[in-house]
Amino acid sequence: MSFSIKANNLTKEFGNSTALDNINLQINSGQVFGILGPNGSGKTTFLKIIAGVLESTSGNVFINELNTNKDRDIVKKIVGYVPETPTLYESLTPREFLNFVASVRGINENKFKERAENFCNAFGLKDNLDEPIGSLSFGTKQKVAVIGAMLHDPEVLVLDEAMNGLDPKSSKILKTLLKDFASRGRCVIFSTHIMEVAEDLCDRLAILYKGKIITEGTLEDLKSGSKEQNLEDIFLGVTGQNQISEIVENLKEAMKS
Amino acid sequence: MKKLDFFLSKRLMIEQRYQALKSNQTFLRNVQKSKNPGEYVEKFVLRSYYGICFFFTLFSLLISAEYLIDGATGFKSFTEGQIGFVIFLYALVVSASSSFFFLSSLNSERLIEPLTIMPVEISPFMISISWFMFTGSATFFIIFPPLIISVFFFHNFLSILFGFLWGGILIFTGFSISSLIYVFLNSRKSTSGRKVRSGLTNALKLLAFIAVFSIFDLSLYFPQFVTYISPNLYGTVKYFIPLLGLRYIVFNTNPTFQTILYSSISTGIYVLLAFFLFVYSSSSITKLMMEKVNVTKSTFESAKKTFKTKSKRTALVEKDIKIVTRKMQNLTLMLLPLFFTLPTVFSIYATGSIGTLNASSAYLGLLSLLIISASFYSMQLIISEGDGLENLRILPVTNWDIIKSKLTTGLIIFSLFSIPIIFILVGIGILRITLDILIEIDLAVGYIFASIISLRWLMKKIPKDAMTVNFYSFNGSLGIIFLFAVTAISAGIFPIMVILIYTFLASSIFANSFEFLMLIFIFNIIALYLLTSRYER
Repeated sequence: MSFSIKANNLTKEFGNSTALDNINLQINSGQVFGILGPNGSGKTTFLKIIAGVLESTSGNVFINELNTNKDRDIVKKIVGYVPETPTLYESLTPREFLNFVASVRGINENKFKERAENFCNAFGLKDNLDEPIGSLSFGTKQKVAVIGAMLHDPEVLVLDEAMNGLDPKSSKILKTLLKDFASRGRCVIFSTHIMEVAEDLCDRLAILYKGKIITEGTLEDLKSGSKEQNLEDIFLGVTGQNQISEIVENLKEAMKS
Repeated sequence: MKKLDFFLSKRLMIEQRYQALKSNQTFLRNVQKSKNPGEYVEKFVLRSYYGICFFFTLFSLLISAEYLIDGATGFKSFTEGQIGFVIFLYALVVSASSSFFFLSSLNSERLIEPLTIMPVEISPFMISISWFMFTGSATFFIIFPPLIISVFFFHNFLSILFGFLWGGILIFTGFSISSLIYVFLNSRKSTSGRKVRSGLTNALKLLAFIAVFSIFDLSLYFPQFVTYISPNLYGTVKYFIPLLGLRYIVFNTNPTFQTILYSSISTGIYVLLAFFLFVYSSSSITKLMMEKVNVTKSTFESAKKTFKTKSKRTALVEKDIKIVTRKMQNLTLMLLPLFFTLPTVFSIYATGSIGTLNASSAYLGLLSLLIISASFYSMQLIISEGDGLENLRILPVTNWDIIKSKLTTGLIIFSLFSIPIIFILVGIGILRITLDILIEIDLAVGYIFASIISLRWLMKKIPKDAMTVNFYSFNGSLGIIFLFAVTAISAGIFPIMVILIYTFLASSIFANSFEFLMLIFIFNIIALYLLTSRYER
């Protein structure tokens, strides 16, 4: 099934500060879409609105005809979301947490068992399944959050810096899974600070800066619009953060004195 | 004490207080708005310190109030009745329990970790001073009121001096005891005993909690019992028995050279002992915390090791029950309504004659438990979500789903407490078994109705953008007072209506308990139907 996610004049304010400023964007199914941006640029807010976790102040996000503000409960059924920091119930075990997620999402028990077993094997979580989540490492918690978001085989998968803390094997498995996910006509939207991951994985990219989208397109589109040839330099260029050598020189001087 | 040590202790204290506030949206907004956020946080912590000092003073005065009515004669019986002893003991228990919670939070929030990488020599007193700055010093306000009142009546200014010293001895000893227990529970490296130690830690926390409230209940409702357990002591030895000797050292209404001498020697000895214990425990706890950060891990057995699905409601309730039962802090808080209301419930039965008591009065007595439980459990069960609220925001769970699960969990806990009480009343012959069932049904329906109203209010108070919830999400203390008032009205309105109907008909509610309870049941059911049908549609 083909569908699209559209953000129309999307604005989000927290008190006096504007996190998102009149965003317009379209993401089609079958794509891995990357959101890049420096800290505080509004990436997490944007992803949370798509996932129906936050409401926008004005403007809307539509997943086909579903409005993420008004149809939040339906949106949450078709979206899987991995937050930036996995805030899971620390007194539950990963197994209990996954049982909880599957129950609340109403997943068929047989399908759930099969998926959970496969995911836990793939991410090497089997040995930690019956330990309290509170005692697990950050990376292991991240794995639990990722599996929890993928259990119901969502139409849209939203991941906020999900590669953080994952070991190389799990990171590779997740990247492969995301590509496969998109190839099945689903949509993956994710944010990252790791440019290599974005270059490797994304069909399209958007760079968010101070709540606005300053550039958007395929990697080739971004390269053709810039004199730089790698994503990191393009990113630093468009976000006005390319005075790195000057900053480093100043730091060196400061350290000497 | 070096300036740096003081600075680090203060930083640690503020960070520890900040942990309780950091996820509150209103607090964070105010911090962001303020010109100097650091100063704002410090002022906020200072305000909450004043609040705790005020609460302790008020509590102490509340216990003394009954005796103050009769002036000096009454206060003499107050000191002789060992209420002074109770207040000092209370200070010791509060100090010990608050120290334990303070040390646990330093560990769980990993507040010592940033200091371990700093190239500074950490004072062995850093943690204890940090504790004293907020919690320890505030505990002194428990003992001040009876000392000042004692001087006012008996003009023995030595009461202030001895009282202050003994307050210090007990408060610092409270910290020392907790620190040493904490060191004992966390110092061994083997993992085999971890479960036992974790269980022991939880049991100690629970015991400390029960001790604090048992003393509160005893002193408030049964002062004569305290006199009974604290016999009169004779001879010089009475000055040297800790706590029991306070009556002769601190509240000495006829001081002579001899009594002052004995009191001074005794106080001197105990000051020295408490000092050495404090020095030893302070250095032990600092050493442990600096060497072994994040030492405790929660351990428990998960029973069913299979992937299994349930209905949404069952899954939500099961999750709530696990969160409550697996975290000692949550579990102990569930006992609070019982501690606050049980003396009231039983004092109604204890002061009246069995003949005049029946199902109507039993129901009205238990209404206080219903009101406190419905408001407190609603609040506590939502707060126990903490950062986990984000999970509920991500999943397809509506506010009504959350209300239903919290309601069910709260009702299970409430029934666990109220059913045995009713069985006790049946056992001592106050109730007939048929009415017992009707009372429990009435209480359950009343609980559901009152809880839905409180839970609805609480859920509305959580900002839509909030991904975490805590005590301050509901406007702090003012919000809680409002919550209790709303719950009291919603739980009490139908019993009051029925009593008014009876008054209008010039009939006694005690004449026919069955009718009385049935009328309340019918009113509650109609109200509940109207309330829930709005949501279920």
